[in-house]
Amino acid sequence: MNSYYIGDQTRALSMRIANTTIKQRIDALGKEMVSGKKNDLAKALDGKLYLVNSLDNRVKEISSYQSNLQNLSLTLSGMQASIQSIDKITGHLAPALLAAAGNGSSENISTLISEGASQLDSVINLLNSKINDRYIFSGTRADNPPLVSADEMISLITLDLPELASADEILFAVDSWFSEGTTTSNFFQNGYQGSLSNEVTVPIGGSNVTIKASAKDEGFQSVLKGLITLNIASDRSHSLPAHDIEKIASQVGSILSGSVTQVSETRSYLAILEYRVENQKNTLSAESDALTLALSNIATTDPYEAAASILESITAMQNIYMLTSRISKLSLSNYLS
Amino acid sequence: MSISAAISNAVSGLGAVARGTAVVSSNLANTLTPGYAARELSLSPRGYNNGAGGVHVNGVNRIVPQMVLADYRLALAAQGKSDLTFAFNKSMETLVGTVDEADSLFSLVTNLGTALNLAAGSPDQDLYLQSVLESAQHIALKLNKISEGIQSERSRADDSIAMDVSKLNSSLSEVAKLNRLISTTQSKGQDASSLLDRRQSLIDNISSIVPLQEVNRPNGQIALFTKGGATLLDGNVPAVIGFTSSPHVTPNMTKEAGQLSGLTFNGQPLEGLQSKLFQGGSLEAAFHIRDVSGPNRQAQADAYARNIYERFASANIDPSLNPGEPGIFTDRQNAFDDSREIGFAGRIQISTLVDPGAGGHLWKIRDGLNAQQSIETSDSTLLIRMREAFDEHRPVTMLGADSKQRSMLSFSSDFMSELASERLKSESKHTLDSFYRDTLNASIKSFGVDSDKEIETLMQLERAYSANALVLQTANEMIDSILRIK
Repeated sequence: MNSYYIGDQTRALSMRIANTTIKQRIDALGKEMVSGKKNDLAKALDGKLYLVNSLDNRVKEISSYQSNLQNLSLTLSGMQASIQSIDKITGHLAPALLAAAGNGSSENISTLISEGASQLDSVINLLNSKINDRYIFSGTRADNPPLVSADEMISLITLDLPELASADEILFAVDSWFSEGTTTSNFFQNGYQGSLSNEVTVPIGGSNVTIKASAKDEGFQSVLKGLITLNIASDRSHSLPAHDIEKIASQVGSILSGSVTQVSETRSYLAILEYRVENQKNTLSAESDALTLALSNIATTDPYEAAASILESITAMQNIYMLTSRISKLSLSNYLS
Repeated sequence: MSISAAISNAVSGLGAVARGTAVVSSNLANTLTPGYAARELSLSPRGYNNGAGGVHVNGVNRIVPQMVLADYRLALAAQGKSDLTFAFNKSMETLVGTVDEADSLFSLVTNLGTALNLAAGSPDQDLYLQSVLESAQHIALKLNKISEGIQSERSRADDSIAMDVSKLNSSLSEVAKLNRLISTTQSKGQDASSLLDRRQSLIDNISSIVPLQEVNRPNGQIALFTKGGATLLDGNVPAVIGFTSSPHVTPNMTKEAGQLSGLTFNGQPLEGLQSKLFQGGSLEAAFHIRDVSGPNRQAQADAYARNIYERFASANIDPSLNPGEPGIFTDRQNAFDDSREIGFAGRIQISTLVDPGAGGHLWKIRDGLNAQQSIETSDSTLLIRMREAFDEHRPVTMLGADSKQRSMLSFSSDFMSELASERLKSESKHTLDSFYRDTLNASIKSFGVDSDKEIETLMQLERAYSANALVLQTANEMIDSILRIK
């Protein structure tokens, strides 16, 4: 008769191997349930990590571009708000000065000159606006206000001007302070403190946005030129003859009229940038949502599947316990008396 | 047959039963002893001369499935090899980081990319420049750690070789000693089973180091050969395997250059194909880690460090740099030298020029390493160039050989994917080898002590004892009857 025996240790070994395997599985599934993520993502992807890595990287990249876009949005809207206020001032003053000069109403002209003179500080303050602790009209020298104060500018211009200067002398002095060549003028040397050449460039994902607008733009220079002229004229209004005052009003009216067009161009340019920024925000937001969803589909575990697998493993574990218990009791010696 | 012959037969039966009971009790006592092979009594009828008979105890046999045991030992060797290989690959993957870890090399590189984006968006903000500095520092430290980790693994492999060799030598001496003892014991007609158990256990213990083949020799002796063909023991004197461990392994140390030890066999160095004599177990795996896998991983880490260094060390990126000058990444504050590529990952550092903690200035990240002062605080030109250099696809140079072009991110991802694939491959092999070893182990154990069988045998022995005792009693009564005749 052939007999077959199984050593005692082999039973224990089989039980132990089964037990360890199931415990490891329960442990892995438990981690998946708690974290909601696949326990071994590299294994789930068969070691091909490029897809998940590129998705993860792009989501983080988009987040940084969104932050840039947010800052850019604030800067652009800050610039737009300042320019709008400047536009309002010049839009009111320019036609009023031209009309008053045409009518020869000296009282009206004086009032407008005083009003214009008082707006110089406001315009300089608007161009010296700060967003996020950054001077938005300074180009890449954002830690410096782009313009010196109105008093400083006027004192620099009037330094060599005679006490009883005529309208022509005032107009010439102001004009030459601003216009002696592009970057060698007194304005660039002493009045403007922002960046001369570099423009603010911000990466927004796939492309950069460059803000080609600062306080040195010709439109703003024209506004400053007009208001400074009014300021000087206002100081000397009692000593200037009426026709000189009329001339100044007429000239400044023309300068400010010209500036309106130039400043409008800057506003339009900034509006285009704002549109690009908003567009890119929407594009990136949609892309981020799609990528996050794709990433989540790959990396996360199905809770129903994980729960079902845990239950299955627990049942298998209970079977092992039952078998271990019964087998350990199953011995011939227990049946001998 | 005379009554005295009957008594003699019964006595031989009682003796055999007593010996059988001793074997059963020994088996039951060793039910849980690892490496214990179940014994069974070997009996044969005594010669029937002049009407005599009875039973002769031939000896005690150990029940060992030789074929399964041989396979089990080969499985142990395969397991020893895959254990080390898997542990190494797992360690490499952990060092570089896996896909969902915040401090993986890929995540750190992504962080640098996003920090550069943010800094380019707000170049005047120190917060973002600090973030660029920290991200770059994290990458440099990570590469330092990877390099250190690879060398630790190589050191560990070197130590493992030394331990394996020492264990192999001492076990072989012990086996040789047991060979002699078994021969002597058997020649005296005594039971050498426990010595055989001990010898088997010793051989099992060294089987994970190198795959062994056991060949029986006369008088209970055995010879041991490696599967590759080296004679470890054939006779009384075992072979002597030599190895000198190195206290600390550095990236430049190689066996070829003589800085790391190879094996010697009976005093002769094993070179070239001779090293195949010890193939197949943990010894081979440890040599492979120390001399092949480890240096290969180091070369990859060095190529990675070189790649990131070269991206930023260019006047096209930072016009303030002089030709050959390092950028934000440096070789311990110096320029990288091609001839010192090995180990660069362990030396890569961030330039102190941009580190305020080391007396540098954050604004130099934005304005150039050699810039004298910071004026254009919102100029993002350099930061955007750095970001573009980061994304640029450029050839990866590894020890002078150019491979396909990669961006920093694709290089990082490929590096991680390769390590993950290697880990998964070795994990799968490890699981398979474990399963095979466990199956064979269970198979060997199935030949071990079965308490049911022993109790069953005990019951048979009890019956045989009663029968023999009854014969003895009956013969005694018969003699008494004769003696009572007057």
